Amino acid sequence: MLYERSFCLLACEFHISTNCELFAKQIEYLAVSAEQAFPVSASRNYQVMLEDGRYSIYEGDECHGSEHSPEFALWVLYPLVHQAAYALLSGYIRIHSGCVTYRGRRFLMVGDKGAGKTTLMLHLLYAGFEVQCDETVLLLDGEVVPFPRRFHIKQASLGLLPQLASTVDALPFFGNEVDANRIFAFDPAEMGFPWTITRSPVDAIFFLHANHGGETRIDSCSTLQMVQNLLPQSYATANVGNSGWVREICSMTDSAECYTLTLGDVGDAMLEFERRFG
Amino acid sequence: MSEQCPKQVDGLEIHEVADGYVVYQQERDRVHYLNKTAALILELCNERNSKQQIGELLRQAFDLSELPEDDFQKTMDSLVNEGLVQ
Repeated sequence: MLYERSFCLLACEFHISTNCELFAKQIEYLAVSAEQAFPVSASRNYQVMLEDGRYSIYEGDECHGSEHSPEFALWVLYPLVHQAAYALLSGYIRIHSGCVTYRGRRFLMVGDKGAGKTTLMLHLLYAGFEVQCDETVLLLDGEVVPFPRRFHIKQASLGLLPQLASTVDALPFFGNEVDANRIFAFDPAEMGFPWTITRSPVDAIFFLHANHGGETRIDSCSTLQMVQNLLPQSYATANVGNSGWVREICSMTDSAECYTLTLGDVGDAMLEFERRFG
Repeated sequence: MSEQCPKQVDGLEIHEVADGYVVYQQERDRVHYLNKTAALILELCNERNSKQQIGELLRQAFDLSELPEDDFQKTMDSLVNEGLVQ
């Protein structure tokens, strides 16, 4: 029996098939159900075939690897899919940021790995904000497009997300069943939330500083400070020179409100968001 | 703007970055990116050069047979309109 799954990541449509039921479940880690107002310009087909106890990853006749477990096969397939999707987005600036829309205003949440972006995004989602992504937005001509990746939730963060307690077992994950470092992949639309990917200018940018267990605070930040914060969290895809990269970052920042968010208690952050923007 | 000798406005914070300048106006909390050409024009707006001289210096700096007048004028206008040059 052949299992098939199709989905889009912005300009690229993916068709993945496998003869293994176990791997068919792994594909869900990659697949997204976001509505995407983005023209599709290419299609890629991958097959993951269980042959003689090994999982071989094919694109047409080309074999990208042969792995001993479905997890490792996913480890090979995941970057192939994302690289193919990004390859069609030359001209964009990639920013390491979550993206939220509330009452028609778009907010970026930029921060280092571990700053608490995903935890904050999920709290905002359950509080009624529309959350488009937790990891990457693409900037072009003053507008951003959230990259529609499932939100990646570290197992260690689950304690901060009681909202997920009843659903976490149903989420696809990367890692071993008994592994304490599993990464769960959350699709807002599957949980009944709107997940629509649109292109739009940015109204406010928040730069997150982790302050785990400490105080939560939102402070205004100068546009210059924000540019200095954003440049290391962003880079240009192909066809964008250094000047295009810096110009786009400056232009977006200059037309947005800029804040630093010192993120301690997430509940306090929610209260502060409600107070300022609710 | 003085007809003869434009100058940078006071208080600009200039940061050299890849292929140009990031210029910050603290009073207005505004940030601008200038490419290499615009950055050079900003530097030449020092009250010692007339607009015509700036154009000529630019032509020489980029080894052009002729100054692209329209582009030069647009850049000058943009620097003035954004409050970087007076």
